[in-house]
Amino acid sequence: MRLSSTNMDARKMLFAAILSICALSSKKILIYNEEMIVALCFIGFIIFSRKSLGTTFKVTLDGRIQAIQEELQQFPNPNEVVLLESNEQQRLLRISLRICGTVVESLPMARCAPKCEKTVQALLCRNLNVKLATLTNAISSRRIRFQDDLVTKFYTLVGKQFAYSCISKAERVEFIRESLVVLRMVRGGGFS
Amino acid sequence: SPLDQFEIVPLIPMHIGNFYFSFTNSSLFMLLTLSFFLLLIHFVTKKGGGNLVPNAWQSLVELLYDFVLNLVKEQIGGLSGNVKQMFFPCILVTFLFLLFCNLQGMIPYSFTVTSHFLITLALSFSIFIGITIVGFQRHGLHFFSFLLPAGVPLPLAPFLVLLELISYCFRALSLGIRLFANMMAGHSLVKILSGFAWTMLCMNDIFYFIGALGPLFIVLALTGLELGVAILQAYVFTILICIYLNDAINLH
Repeated sequence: MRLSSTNMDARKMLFAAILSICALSSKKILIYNEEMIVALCFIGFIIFSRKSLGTTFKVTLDGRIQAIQEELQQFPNPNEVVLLESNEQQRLLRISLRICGTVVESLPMARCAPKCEKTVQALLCRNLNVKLATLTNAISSRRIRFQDDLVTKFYTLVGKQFAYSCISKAERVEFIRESLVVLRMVRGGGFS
Repeated sequence: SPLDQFEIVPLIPMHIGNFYFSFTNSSLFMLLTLSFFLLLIHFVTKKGGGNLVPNAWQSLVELLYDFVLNLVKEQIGGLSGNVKQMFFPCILVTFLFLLFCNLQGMIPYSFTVTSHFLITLALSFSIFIGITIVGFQRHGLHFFSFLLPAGVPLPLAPFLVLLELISYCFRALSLGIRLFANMMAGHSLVKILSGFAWTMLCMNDIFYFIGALGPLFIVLALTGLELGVAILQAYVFTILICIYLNDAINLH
């Protein structure tokens, strides 16, 4: 079905091409002279080189794209890092809560006073919720600050590179130190 | 005639006093090349482009940019990176202009802008004057020592200075002539051979008809050669600018 439809399309295109060539040459818009041969040879050469060199060219460009992608993947994605951090924090919180629960249950006071147990549990629950909320807030604010930092540093770097004013050595060192600090913040996970 | 294709025809005639400001086919094709290139840059940087991981077209433009950047870095020595970057935009624009004009000239029924001596000479002469100004700016009057190689016996000096002066001035001329002659010769050759094939095809004889395949094949091969020459000449022009600039900046 698909083959026949493309076949029909090709036939229609061929028909249209022959018709247009006839019309153009009858109106003397398409003049047959040696320039025609140049054009034919040019088109022939383009088709020939596309067939013979097209794959090589494509492989070269694809290889370049691949190389850039691999280079990028060596840097940690800040979003993923933040997500991992938050998961870890949540896990730690849960564990500490569980320990708290067992401690409260094992208290001799709790047994004799069941109302107290409920209160403590409610308190712990609220604590947990508050902590989770602050955690997510901290993560998002940290992420925004990190992005802002990156953008500022990038603008500083690019602006300096293109302004032709020579960056002095001290400035460069200072810049590298600052970016290292930012990188360490990302790696070290100061998100709590 | 095979030289008909180089004729400059005024499309919008314009005379102001004794000056001639017509919009010719040369300016039309220059504008076309420029708009094509600007469109390419626009699509590569703005619309759907400008990504960290490039697509094929962006990759191509980045490769061109990297190529010229490496050329400037390698050829011009003895300067810090920032000073080299001062010359880079000019060299990049020259390279891209020549490359796209040469390639556009390969398309049949179009006009080759760089096959005119006026355009290549204007380009090479202005660059030559600029390079001389850069030399004087960096070295002051000491730049004249460029004309006298070190360790020359004194009686020989006047002749050598004259010789060096002439060779220095002819750099500008040779730079322009090289490009224009290459483009013009290639296009004329293709036209002559295709005219030859066309005459044979019009003979109404089966032997001539078969014989016309020879010139046809040669024209096909020449088209490939001309494409190579178009790219190579843009490269040669650029590398020579870099070498002359290096000579002017680092005196021997």
